[in-house]
Amino acid sequence: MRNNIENCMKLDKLVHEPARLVILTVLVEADEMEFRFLEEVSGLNKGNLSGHLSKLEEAGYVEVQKFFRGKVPVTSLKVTRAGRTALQQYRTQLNEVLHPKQSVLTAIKKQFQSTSS
Amino acid sequence: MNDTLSAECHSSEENLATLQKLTREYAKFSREFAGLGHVLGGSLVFLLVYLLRRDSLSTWVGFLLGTTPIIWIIFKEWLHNSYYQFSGRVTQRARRWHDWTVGILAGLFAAAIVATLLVYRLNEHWTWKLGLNTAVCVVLLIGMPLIAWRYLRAPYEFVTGIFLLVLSAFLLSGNLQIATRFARALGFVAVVVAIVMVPAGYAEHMRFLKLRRNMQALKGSA
Repeated sequence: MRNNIENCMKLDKLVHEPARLVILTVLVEADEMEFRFLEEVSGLNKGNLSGHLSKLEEAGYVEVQKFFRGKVPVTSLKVTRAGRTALQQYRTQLNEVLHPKQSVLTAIKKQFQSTSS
Repeated sequence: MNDTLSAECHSSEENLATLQKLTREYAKFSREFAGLGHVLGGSLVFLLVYLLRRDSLSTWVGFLLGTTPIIWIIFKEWLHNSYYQFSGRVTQRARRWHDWTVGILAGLFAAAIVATLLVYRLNEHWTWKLGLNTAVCVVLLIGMPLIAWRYLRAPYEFVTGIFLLVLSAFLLSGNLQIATRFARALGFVAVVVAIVMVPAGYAEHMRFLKLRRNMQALKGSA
């Protein structure tokens, strides 16, 4: 039980926030993405989305590039390697919190496999 | 409490999985899926192979046919960048096989060019004057790996695209006879791929229409 609470405390708060979790989850599926698509898919308004993206950019999880295509301003987003790792770690930690028995079993299985090989 | 939390997370996990799937599908239309582009490319292979089997073509008709692969690539790129990316560009993560195949293609083209030059030199047929026509042909052939790397990203369009562009290079440079021989020698390979490419492109287009409906529904529910 205490172990579970400790695991809960370890969760990355920056990724744990639902809007930012959605942003990162969608971003990892593409190489690069325009702001317009993320706005439509996430259902967040421009202001909210910009705010969350700024936080992710500050943490080094997302790269934001602004340029003009003709006369139209475009914002392009890309998840960094650190962002991908953070999301992966978050998923693993959350899984350990929600399914502690399963994760213990997986650890035992892994240990058993390593000793038998 | 843990169960409630777990249930909530599962429902949001499902939502996240749906969003991921939708994004992945949408991104495919930036590189891998060309939909109507594949339908047009495949149809173009049938048309060119059929017409080049007839001997009655004039050089001007050949020249006009030579422009069609370039128009096809422009149309395909418009589909990739605008029509199929109606809600902003989302680029699919690059596939490693593509870099490998382009590398092999570049090697093959380099070897073919070197071999041709050597044969000409050994046979003392070094009378080739570089006119505008030949220059167009040479530029298209040398630039082929670059064009393939940039514009021919799906496996079907890679095969048919190379075939169409080589034909285009011969036709635009006025080498109708070489184009006819090339179409007769390798046309069947391109036709076989085109037979698969046309229905696959149609299926991709149907997937796109479904995806657009899903995205509209998502927008409506937000």
